[in-house]
Amino acid sequence: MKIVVAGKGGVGKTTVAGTVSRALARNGHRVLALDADANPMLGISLGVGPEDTDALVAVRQGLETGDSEHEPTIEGFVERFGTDAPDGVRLVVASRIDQFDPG
Amino acid sequence: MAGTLARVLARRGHRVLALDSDTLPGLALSLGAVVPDEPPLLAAAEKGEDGRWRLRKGIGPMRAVRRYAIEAPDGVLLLQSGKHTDTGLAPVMGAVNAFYRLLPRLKEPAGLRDWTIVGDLSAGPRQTAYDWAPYAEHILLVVEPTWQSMLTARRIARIAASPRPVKMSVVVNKATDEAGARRVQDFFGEAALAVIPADEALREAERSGAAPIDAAPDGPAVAAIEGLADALEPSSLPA
Amino acid sequence: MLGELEGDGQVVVGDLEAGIGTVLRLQSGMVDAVVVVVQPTAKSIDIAARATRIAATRELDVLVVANRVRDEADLSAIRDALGDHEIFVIPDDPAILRADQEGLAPIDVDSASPGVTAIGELAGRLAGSTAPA
Repeated sequence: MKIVVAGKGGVGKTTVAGTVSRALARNGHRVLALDADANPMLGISLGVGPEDTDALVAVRQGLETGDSEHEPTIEGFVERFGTDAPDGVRLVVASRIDQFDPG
Repeated sequence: MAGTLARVLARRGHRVLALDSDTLPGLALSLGAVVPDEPPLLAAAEKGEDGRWRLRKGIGPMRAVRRYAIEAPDGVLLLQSGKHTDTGLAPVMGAVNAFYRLLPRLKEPAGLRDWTIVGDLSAGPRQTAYDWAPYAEHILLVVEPTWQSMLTARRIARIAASPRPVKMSVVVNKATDEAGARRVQDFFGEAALAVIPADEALREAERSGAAPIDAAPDGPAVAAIEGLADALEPSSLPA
Repeated sequence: MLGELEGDGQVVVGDLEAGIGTVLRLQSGMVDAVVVVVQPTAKSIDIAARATRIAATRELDVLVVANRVRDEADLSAIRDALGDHEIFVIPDDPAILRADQEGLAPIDVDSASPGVTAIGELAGRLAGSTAPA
């Protein structure tokens, strides 16, 4: 199943998304946490740690320029560029900082 | 915070132009301004023969401010970008485009030269990267004592610092204790220009959408923003 | 990316970009639930109301999560605007604030605190408490 979490910045959307992910994993689900925010922070709420979460963004931006072309499927992308969070949650930062969007 | 600062500065005699680039409502409430349903700047734009948006003939920054800025209390004028409708930004793209065409030109008119311009950016680093950094003289990084907020501010600072350096100061907001304020300042390796405490008196204001300066004028948050205004006076800034 | 991910027994939890731009890009059938998080503030309530209206036009299931609720006045403010929807309440929780301040996952700071417990119940509400086969 696919769940998305929305809301104004600062309301706790990421905290809810991250904690729901960890809770689902503890309930036995296989969870993919997708950080689609242009300012990725989901790793912190998942327990990845702040500086490691920040480092993920840098990796992502580096990859956007070239490597992603070599992964023909989304699953392959997740496999290759995802990172492990506690309780077996898999985290993928999928921000689109390259696309200007005034809204 | 931007709205309250704008009102504080206006009460001190500054001529204040507030800028709201967020496509979701926000700054007007903090200013205590009543906003018309249709964005005023929609009237400033038209589509050219090439299908692209442009400012209407004769509309430049001074005229746009005079005609299309929203009046807020204390004489503050608010120039506002278009706001999302239920179908998206398409119906207000003229206003969004007009806003961004005017932004780099605000330093042109002699009539605006002695104004104090307070810009409120959408949360996050993207707008800084694309729109604002080139035009700001001083960026206030408003940071709450959370890692999310500190990391975001650091990202903004890095983006804003290139290609040319711009003056940046840290303002700690919603500080709940000394330790939190200290954590932010240690993180950036510098003293904050101001520390604004979490303010119980503001909770009701935020819940109802009232301007903090109107709803909680005697509270610690507004007092701290007065202190921020003091710190921003030219004579008090370090050389 | 969301549209292309297969369900295949896993649960995908997508943290969308703040605001409603991303909600506007969701289409019917793309996701199983849209969780709209709101705090007892006029600004976040306005945005949540927009998000829920937009989600409804796309026939998406919406669950409203009222976060950092401290009292009845907080809950009323949210109900007044969003009462048509199921509202899940997460109380204001010092453990979650501490987690944010220290850069930790709330579930690691105190999995039994009221806010974390409530989010755990939300998880159960969303995807059931037993894993699929």
